[in-house]
Amino acid sequence: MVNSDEIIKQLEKGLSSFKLDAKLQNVGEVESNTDGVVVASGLSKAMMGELVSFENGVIGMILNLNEDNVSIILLGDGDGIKEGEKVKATGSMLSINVSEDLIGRVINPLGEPLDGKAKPKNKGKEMPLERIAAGVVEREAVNTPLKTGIKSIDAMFPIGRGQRELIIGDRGLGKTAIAIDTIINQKNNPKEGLKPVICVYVAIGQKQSRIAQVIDKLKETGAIDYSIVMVASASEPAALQYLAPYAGVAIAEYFMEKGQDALVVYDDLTKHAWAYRQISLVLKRPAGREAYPGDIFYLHSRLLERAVKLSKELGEGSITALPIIETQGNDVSAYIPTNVISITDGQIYLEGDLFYSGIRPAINIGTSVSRVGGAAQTPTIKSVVGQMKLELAQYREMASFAQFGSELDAATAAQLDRGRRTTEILKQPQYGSLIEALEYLSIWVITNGFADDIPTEQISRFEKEYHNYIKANYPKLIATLSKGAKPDEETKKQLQKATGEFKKGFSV
Amino acid sequence: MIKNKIKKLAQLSYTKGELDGKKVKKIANFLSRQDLKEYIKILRELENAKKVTVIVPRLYKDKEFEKQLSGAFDGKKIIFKEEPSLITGLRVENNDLIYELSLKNTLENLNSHING
Repeated sequence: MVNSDEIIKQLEKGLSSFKLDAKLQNVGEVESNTDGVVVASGLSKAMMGELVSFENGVIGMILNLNEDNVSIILLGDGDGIKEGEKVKATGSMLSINVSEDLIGRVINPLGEPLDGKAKPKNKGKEMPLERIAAGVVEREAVNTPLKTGIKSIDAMFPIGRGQRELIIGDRGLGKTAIAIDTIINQKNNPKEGLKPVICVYVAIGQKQSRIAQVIDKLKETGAIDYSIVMVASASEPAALQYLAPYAGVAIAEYFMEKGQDALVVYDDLTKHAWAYRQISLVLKRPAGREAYPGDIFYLHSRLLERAVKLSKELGEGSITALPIIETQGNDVSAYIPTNVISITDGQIYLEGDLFYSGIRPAINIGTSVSRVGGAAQTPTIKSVVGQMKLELAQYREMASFAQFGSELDAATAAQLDRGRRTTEILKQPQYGSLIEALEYLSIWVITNGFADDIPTEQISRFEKEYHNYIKANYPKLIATLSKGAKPDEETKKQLQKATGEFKKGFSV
Repeated sequence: MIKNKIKKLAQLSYTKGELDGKKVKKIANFLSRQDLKEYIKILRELENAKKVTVIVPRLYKDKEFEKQLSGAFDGKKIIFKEEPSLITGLRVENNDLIYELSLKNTLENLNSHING
């Protein structure tokens, strides 16, 4: 039974924060309600982006301030809002209540739970959806890796904590798969001596069925224990789809301020741009190229600028952003893709031809780039990547000549063979993320010629068995390689010995 | 007709600061249904801008209070209205700004504060 003193104490606690001041209300009157946008007169003191509430409890956000009226986008069902109805300004901007209780939950951009569970009881911190990104003084250079567990990315296009790396490609080429694999791989951080990462997956304008699959996968792999899923599906109003990424980054900022690392996946920003285009057209803003409004660049730049690596004085928290852009017919020169490419610190470009020829993840090595991630790469992986990149570049160049069928000298044929094997070992199945030590082993074994006598089609079996052999018989080697330091001569010798032993027992 | 012109017509409907019935009738005859709607809306806005409504739980004469109000809202017509549900205190409606100073409002706010 609850103690009566306890009840009184709780009431007193609640009352202590109650302000008895006179309340000034700014009211308006609904003039029209069309396509999710309400035009209201009055509201002379309202601010841009201010929240307003209607008589039926629905809230809206002011997006246009005109001489005689304001335009409000509705954040709920506006069917019951009639002409002449009163609308009140709330005096507050849109924010989301964030606490640790949100981890493992599925919510909408307003913070309402969508997973059938109760609203988090713990009163957290109100985080504003719109906020100016940290300035130059507050930042420091990217210096810690965010490992994806995908060999080709971690080796050639490494992502650092605080970086913005775009994943771009046509539909169905595995863009979401890369992002989800990255989220799942964050469970390996403690094993590799890295800080844990809180992941926020923001689904914008997607089919509910696809979102359900992603949530199931996160639950199945246990990744939901450190993840938050923000959903604004295709059936939600465009206003919620527009707000979803800002709500996602606001959640990430809460953890960043506490000195933690966060990862935000925006899946995808093409649909986000569509939602904003719809809102802008309904608000009668002037349409520009492809009917997008003039501030479409700012829409994404202000969002992605909030990805940051904070300085030591501010706790060294970080937000890494993985925006996804869907192209049409491999056209990266379209409006939205070029915008986001120019904002981000690099892109992972997925190509249909590679995907259908069995190279998965279908990353185009020539057009993908990571502009700042190199600084965050560990010496372990760095020590082995240089040679592989060189060999791959030579292979790509030679492969284009070799296809004419002319006779090749032995050295060229060997280079082509090596290139084929390297391409083969960079293939990786979905949900097959690897720890860095195993990534190192795969690349090391290829670049040092230990797999030159293995038929290309056997490479993946060779790799799998090799990993298992080393894990079972040389766990110390894995532990040494997981430390992140450049492998010394002793380690390399041991590796050669172990690989030789494994190859003796490997039957082609 | 464009909004600015209707606004101008609405402003011209006043004689010595008071709405002129004759002028309104004359203007209204020339307006289409849609323009008339806009004209009425603007007239209402202009009228609202000229007055302040003070809602009290019980009407009573207090000259000092009226003088203070007139001073606070210079040049505006003060209209008193009775609404017993306020319990005590008052509500001042100045166009789209509402000053809530009633007990009813305080109790409502307290209720929403405690119940979240």
